Amino acid sequence: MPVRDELDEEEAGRYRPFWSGTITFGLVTVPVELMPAVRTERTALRMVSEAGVPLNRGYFSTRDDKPLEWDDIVRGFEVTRDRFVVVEDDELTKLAPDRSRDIDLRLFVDASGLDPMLFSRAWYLTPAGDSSKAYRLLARVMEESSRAGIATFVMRGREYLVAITADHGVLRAQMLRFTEEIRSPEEAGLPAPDNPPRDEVTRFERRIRAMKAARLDTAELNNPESKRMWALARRKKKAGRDVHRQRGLEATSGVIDLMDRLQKSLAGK
Amino acid sequence: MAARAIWKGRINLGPVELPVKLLSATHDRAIRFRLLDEKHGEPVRQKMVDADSKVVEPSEIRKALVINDGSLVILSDEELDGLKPEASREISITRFLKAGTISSEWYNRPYWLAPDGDQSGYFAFAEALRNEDREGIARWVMRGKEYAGVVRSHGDYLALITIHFADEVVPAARLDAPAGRDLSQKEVTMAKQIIEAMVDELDLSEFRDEYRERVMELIDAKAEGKIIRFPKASRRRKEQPLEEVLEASLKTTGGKGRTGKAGEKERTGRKAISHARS
Repeated sequence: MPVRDELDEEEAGRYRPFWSGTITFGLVTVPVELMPAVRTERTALRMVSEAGVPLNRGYFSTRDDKPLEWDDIVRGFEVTRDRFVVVEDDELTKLAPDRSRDIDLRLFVDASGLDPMLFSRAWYLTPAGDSSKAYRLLARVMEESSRAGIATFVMRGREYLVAITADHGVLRAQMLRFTEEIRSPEEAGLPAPDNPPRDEVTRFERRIRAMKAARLDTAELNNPESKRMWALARRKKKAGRDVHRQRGLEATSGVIDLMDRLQKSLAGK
Repeated sequence: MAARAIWKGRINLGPVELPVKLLSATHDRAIRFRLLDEKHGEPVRQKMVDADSKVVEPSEIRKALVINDGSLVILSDEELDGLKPEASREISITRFLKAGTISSEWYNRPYWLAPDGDQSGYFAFAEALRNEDREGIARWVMRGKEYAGVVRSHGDYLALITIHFADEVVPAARLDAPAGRDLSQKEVTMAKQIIEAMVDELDLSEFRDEYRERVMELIDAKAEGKIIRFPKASRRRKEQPLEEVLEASLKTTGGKGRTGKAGEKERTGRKAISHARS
């Protein structure tokens, strides 16, 4: 039976720690949990029936259309057309020795030297276990020295390249793309560089200087479409149009409850 | 092989405009599994079902938002379509920040920008960004969707990296650090020494997705009907007081300069057990 969470990592990561394990540096072990730093808009809209009943994905046999239980489902890799190799969960687990599931930091680099093209998803690490001492120590030292610790580790059937950094006393696990996942300019088909005329460069430099700002204004990073969507939903709610009451539904309130959970987890609650 | 342009647009810098093409900057290397019906070895069929496992036909599926008070509001496809942004070819740049100002959690997906006609303008802009050490905050609408991103120079070229919207990210600055008793100066100093002893240049090409390679080997072996041997699991260590552990770490890592140089093999592969564990 495949691990259900893998099917929808995002769903799984929403309400509870996605992973718990340890970071090590030297002989020091830091027990941590991984919480998402990002919640994408994709998850806001839910699929429901005409009567407003939330729907789930169901699985059915292609042959006889009978509903399948989780125990009837396996994971397969298509080696040639319509020919599948079945791979069991514990086979995948066995491919990752215990120690590969820890984040073992043996290389530290200048945190500002990381290429943003490599950044994929970011997570926060929150302290687990009885004491947050080792956590605070690692965070403080890395932040003071602007270091990032680099490691690979295996989580839920995938190997991740990760940069552990510290920001405001909080450890962050920034997943990085492997270099083999990045297309070089040649592969992408970019033309050989030109030597641009100096006056043209100067013209752009002037434009850049005229439009300088010191920091990112997150108010500029609003999503107008999502805003309009929520505004419409609230209007309809007020007017009582297409409103359904369901028991036990958690509001899809963007990142607010994620932040709340993170705060609780950081405070050791 | 040259990638096909995903989209064409114009970078708008006030009086100056630059026509560009967007190219994918990533390879998707994920191993994709299908869910199979174990009995027949065939891919399963997916359908949406309600709480009673009753199948709901696609024509009867609606989209809804759950509002804070727990009520659910259905939005029709027409209503959702009406919210879509107006189509445009313009990539507007609002301002330029010092390169590296944006914290990593904001970043999403990278694209290359290629010149679409004005080649010298393209390379001039890339050079100007590099000289000024700045990156531009960009907004655009692509295929009916709003985007925010960062235009930066990358070598001689321009890259456009999408960033998340403000309502999707928990910024590190908004979180409270875990509290606890003050750390002793001794602990801080030792931890610094341990970390500094492991500082080295970053060469990411040393890191490979070895697990993926092992999964592909497993699949190939199974496809050929071979017997598979698995590596043995290792044992875990037990807990010790932090200061003792720091001291013991310094004995193994400290003073000798760069342990990172201990070997590329050790770092990339997990074959060698870490000196820290032995």
